[in-house]
Amino acid sequence: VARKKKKRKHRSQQQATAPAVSSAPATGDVVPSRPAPVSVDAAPVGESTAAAAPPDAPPEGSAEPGANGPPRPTALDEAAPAIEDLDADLDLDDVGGSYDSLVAAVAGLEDDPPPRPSARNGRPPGTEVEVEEVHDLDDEDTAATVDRLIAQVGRGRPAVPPSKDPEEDIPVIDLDDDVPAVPARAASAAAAQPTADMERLARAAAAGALDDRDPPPIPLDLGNVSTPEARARLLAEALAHAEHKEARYRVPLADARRVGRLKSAAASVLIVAAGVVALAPPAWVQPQPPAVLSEGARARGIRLALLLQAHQVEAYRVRTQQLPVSLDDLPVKLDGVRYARSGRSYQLVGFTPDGEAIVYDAADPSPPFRVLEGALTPLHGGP
Amino acid sequence: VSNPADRRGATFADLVVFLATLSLAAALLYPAWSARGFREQVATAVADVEAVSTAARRALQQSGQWPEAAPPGVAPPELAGLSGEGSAFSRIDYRVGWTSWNVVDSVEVVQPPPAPEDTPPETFGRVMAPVPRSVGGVSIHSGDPALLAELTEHFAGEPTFVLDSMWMLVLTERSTTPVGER
Repeated sequence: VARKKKKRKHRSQQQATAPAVSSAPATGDVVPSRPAPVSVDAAPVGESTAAAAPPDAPPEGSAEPGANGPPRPTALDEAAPAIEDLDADLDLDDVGGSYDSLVAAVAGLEDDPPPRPSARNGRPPGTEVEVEEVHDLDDEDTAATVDRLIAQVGRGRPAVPPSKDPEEDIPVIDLDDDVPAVPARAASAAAAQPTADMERLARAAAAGALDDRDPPPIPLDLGNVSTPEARARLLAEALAHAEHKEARYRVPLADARRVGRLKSAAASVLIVAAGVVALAPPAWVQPQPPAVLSEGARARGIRLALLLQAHQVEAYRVRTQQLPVSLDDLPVKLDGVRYARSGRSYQLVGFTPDGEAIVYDAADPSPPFRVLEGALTPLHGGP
Repeated sequence: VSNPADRRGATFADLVVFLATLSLAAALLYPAWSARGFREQVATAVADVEAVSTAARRALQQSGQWPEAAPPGVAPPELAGLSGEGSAFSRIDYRVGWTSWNVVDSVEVVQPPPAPEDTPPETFGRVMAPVPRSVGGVSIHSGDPALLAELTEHFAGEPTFVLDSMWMLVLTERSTTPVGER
C-alpha cells in the first residue's frame, strides 16, 4: 500500500505538467442554470476529501476557452490543488454552470464522465443497464446513507473496499494516506472555508443569485458500484448534493428573518399612525367643513341690500325731485327686492330663504337699518 | 416543513393586508382631498375680489370716479386685463360683477350769518341737504351657497351681503363727482 501511495504521488507530479483537459460541458449538453456558487468544502470529511483532488489536473492557464464553454477553473489546472483553490473551483459559475462539473471537480475526474449506469456498473458506455435502486437524496433514508458514507470517510475507512482493478491510473480517494496531501496553509484555510462559504451563499441569496430549484435526483446504485472512479464520483456527488441542500435551507432563513423584521416595523408604524389619526386627527385628514351662512348674517345682509337699494331711490329723488315709479327706473336694481310707493314715502321689502319679510320704511327706518347706515360711510374722506 | 425559500417574499395575506390598508387610507383621505379643491376655489374667488377691488380703487384715485357698471361676467374697460387669462370676471364656478351704487348722504348746510338789518328768523334749526356720492360693489354670482358663505366669512369686517345667488362687497370710497352730474 505504501508503494502504491508513493507511486501515485510520483505519477501525480509527473502529470502535473500534462496537457490540459477541457472541463467545459460537451456541446449540446443541457446544463441547468445554477448561478449560485455552491461549494463543497472539506469540512465534513476532513482533509481526506482534499486528497481526492485530481492528480492529473492540467497546469494553470492551459484551458482553452473554446466553443464548448468557459475556460477550465484555475484550481483544476494546478498540479497540487489547495483546498481554497478547490473551493473556488467548485463555483458553478466558474465550472461552467454544470452540476456534473461540480461533481467532477470534487471527485477529481474528467468533466465529461461516462454515463452513470455504465460507469457504476463497470460496463462500457452505451450499454443499457437497468438501475436496480434509485435513491433521492431528499429522502431521509438516502440522506442517512449519505451520512453513513460521510461518517465512514471521516473515520478513515473507505466506503467501498479498494478495487483489485489493475488500472491504477484512475484516481481514488486514498483515505488512509497518513501523509498530508495538502500543505498546512491549505489545511488552515480549509477550516475557514465553511464560514466563508456561508457568507458567500448569504450574499448570493441576498442578490437573488441562489438557485432554489432542487438538483436532479441522484440515482444511487450502491450495490453495483465497483470502480474507484464510480465510488469517488458517487461520494463527491453526494457531498455536493448535501451541501447544496444545506445551503438552500440555511441562507433563506436569514432572509426570512429580515423580511419578518421589515414586516414588524411596517406594522408598528401603521399602528402608531392609526392611533394618531384616531385620537388627534390632523387637518389634512379631517378637513374644515365649509362655512354656512347663519340666519342672522343672512338677515343682516338683506337689510344692507335694502338700505343700498333705498339709497338708489333717494339718489333718484334728489336728481328728479320725485320717487321712481318702479325699481326699473333706477340705474341699479337688486333682484328679489320689492318696491312699494305711498305718497312721498316708500317701502322696500326683502325676503329671507325661510320666507320671512324684512321691510325698510323710508319714513321711519328701523334701528337695524340705522346701524347699518354706518357701514356705508366712507372709511376715509375723499377730496 | 415549508420551504424557507417560499417565505422570502410577500405572501397572499400580506398583499390582502396591504390592499386593505391602502383602501382605508384612501377612504380616510378622500374628503380632505375633495375639500382641498373647494378651498382652492374659495382662494381663487377671494383673489379675484381683491384684484377687482384694488383696480377699482386705483381707477377711482386716477379718474375720480368708480368704473362704470357692467353685467356679471363682463369686465368694465377700466378693470379689463386683471389676470393673465384675459378676464378674471368669468370663471367656471362663478362670475365676477362690478356695480357702481349711488348713495345720498344728508349733510348739514351751514347757514350764513344773518345781516343786522335782516329780520331774525322765527325758528332756529339745522338745515340738512342731500349730498350724493357713489360707492362701488364687487359681486360674485354663483350657485354654490358654500362659496358665498365662505366669502362672507372671509370679508367679515367689510360691508357684504348675500341676496339669492349673489354675494356683494360694498367699497366705500367717496366719489368726487356728484351723482346728479354724472
